[in-house]
Amino acid sequence: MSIEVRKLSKIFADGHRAVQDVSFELLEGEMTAFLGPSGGGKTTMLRMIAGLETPSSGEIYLSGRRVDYLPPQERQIGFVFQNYALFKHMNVFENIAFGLRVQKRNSAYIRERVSELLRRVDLKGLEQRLPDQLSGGQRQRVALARALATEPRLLLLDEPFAAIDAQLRKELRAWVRNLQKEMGITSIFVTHDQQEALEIADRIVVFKQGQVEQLGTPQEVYNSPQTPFVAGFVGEINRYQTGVKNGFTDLGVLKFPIKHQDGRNVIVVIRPEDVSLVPWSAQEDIQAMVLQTTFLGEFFKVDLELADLIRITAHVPKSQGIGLHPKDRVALRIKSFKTFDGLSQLETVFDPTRRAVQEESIFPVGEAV
Amino acid sequence: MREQPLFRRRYDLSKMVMGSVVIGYVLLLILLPIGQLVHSTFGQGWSGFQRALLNPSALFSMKLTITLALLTAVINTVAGTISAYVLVRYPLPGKKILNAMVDLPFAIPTAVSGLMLLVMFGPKSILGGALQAKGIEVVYAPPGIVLAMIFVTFPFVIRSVQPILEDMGVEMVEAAKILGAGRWQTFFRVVLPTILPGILSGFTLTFSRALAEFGSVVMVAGNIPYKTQTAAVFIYGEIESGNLNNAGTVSLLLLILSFLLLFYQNYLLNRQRFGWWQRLLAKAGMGRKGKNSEFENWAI
Repeated sequence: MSIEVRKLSKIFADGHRAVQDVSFELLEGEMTAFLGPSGGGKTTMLRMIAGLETPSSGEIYLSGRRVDYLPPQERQIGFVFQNYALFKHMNVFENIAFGLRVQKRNSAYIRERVSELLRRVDLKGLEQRLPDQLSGGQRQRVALARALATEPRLLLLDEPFAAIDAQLRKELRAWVRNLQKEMGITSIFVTHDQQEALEIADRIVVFKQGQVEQLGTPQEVYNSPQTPFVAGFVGEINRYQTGVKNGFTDLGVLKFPIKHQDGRNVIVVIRPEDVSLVPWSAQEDIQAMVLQTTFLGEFFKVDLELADLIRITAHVPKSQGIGLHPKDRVALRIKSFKTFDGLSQLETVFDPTRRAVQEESIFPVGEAV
Repeated sequence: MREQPLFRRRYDLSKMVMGSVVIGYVLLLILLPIGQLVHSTFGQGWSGFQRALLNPSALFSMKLTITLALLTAVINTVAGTISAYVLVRYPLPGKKILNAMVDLPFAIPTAVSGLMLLVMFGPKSILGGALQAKGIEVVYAPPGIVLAMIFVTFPFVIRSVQPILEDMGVEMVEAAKILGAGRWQTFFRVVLPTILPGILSGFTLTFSRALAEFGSVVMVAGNIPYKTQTAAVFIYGEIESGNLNNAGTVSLLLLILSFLLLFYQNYLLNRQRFGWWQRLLAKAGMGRKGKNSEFENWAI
């Protein structure tokens, strides 16, 4: 089911503007992530689509049919709540059967459908358990099965993995993703975890203060963020506020050619993985000193100080990071950076004058000062 | 082999002292008086007990008390559940004050509660006068007793349902709605089964407290045999006239009833958080096609 939202706003009774004039369109069969910090309006958005909140203005269309004035009962939506909201007095079977019983399906159909769902969510044999007697992961799967039982046309998940510990979360993510692809059901999930959004979403909608900052595929959102906020929220960045001087950024050694007018204020954003370290040499443009290295498993996070006391963070491979120590002198090459003017991105610049970064395993070569 | 700290385990002095204190306390304050009551009641043997038991005014007082206490419990269970629902779910102005006022009946001495009702419904007041003109007796009549019982036990159901409703949150109701359940279906299949333990517990507490009420009842309804004499008032009257045997017998009956209620409250109600009655209710509310259709029609 495709979803279209037009100029949707939600102002709560206390005057809080949770969602402001939001419009977007999502495609059939896709898994979309509503990503943003808490208070960004993503959960309110989800609840408006479900019919649990009434929009203050605007329209919602599901498969071309306007639904914003319909009660939740009539929208054919499946919803998985953050805390699962299982019916505590009903066992697993009755929880999953609830929607079917409301629809007055005959008991043979209900039995068949519930057992099929139980098989799907891998909970066979637990029919008689009460929600209290299940683990967090099992409860989530019951909630999912319950939401899917009535064959909804749209599945909404509110922070579905937030209450589950890290190890299990990864497994469940992949599992939910597979299930969604298998069933081909249009889905939206809310998350504040950018990793989660990048990993399982076909499309990401980034929310900030009740507005959509960007809508795109994970790659688009990550590689070409349209605002500094998106760049910083999806992935890590080094961020510099600076001016333009003679067609270059006014950042000391981080002097990049840009096309803005002189005197304009710009924001320069560099991702840590776009900073590579090379052996120190007098010919290098950007020379730096290591302040601190932090081991993060797959890579090292290296904090560096450039001339003019500008600081920058780089992510370097393990093999390279292991030989680096505070006060080592190195040189930097910036593989790519982005500049923003105010809130909108103006251009993405790959500096052609700099040499392509070669093998990164030439380290350790840092020289102590 | 693991070494056992045998010595410490056997002679844990503090444990023994504390244990003895509690046991002694229970023995002295609860078990001994009960034993003494049983002993005194059967002082004239089994036949004395039987005679007292069959004494028509004693029987009447027991019947009256149980009937009115049950009526009170039913009224307060319905009113209390609705009040709790409103207090938790509806945005009312001055809700905090309202909520604090719920506990007032517990704080007011029962004699004062009785007096308030007496003044309000007495023949000299406007309301009481009007009711009397229409031939409705309130004070010195059973309706007055029910009013007193209702007033004194008002907080029980509210206070036992409220926390469960708060704890329940709104998600379960929202989940039911999204799954297609209407307002009544949601209430009967989801909300009611969830808060039922609280309702039943409130009912039991209200009932047992109403059974025992003396101060306000005697104030509003007096001590008229075969009309307003409740069990507690009967006991007081018999003691006044030196008839220990009758007083003891009715006391013992009340005591047994209280024990049964206590047992029900603590054992049956709490043994399983969601007992058979809840499942039964959920199922009945569900109503398979064809079956229970009358209920279904009524519920929606």
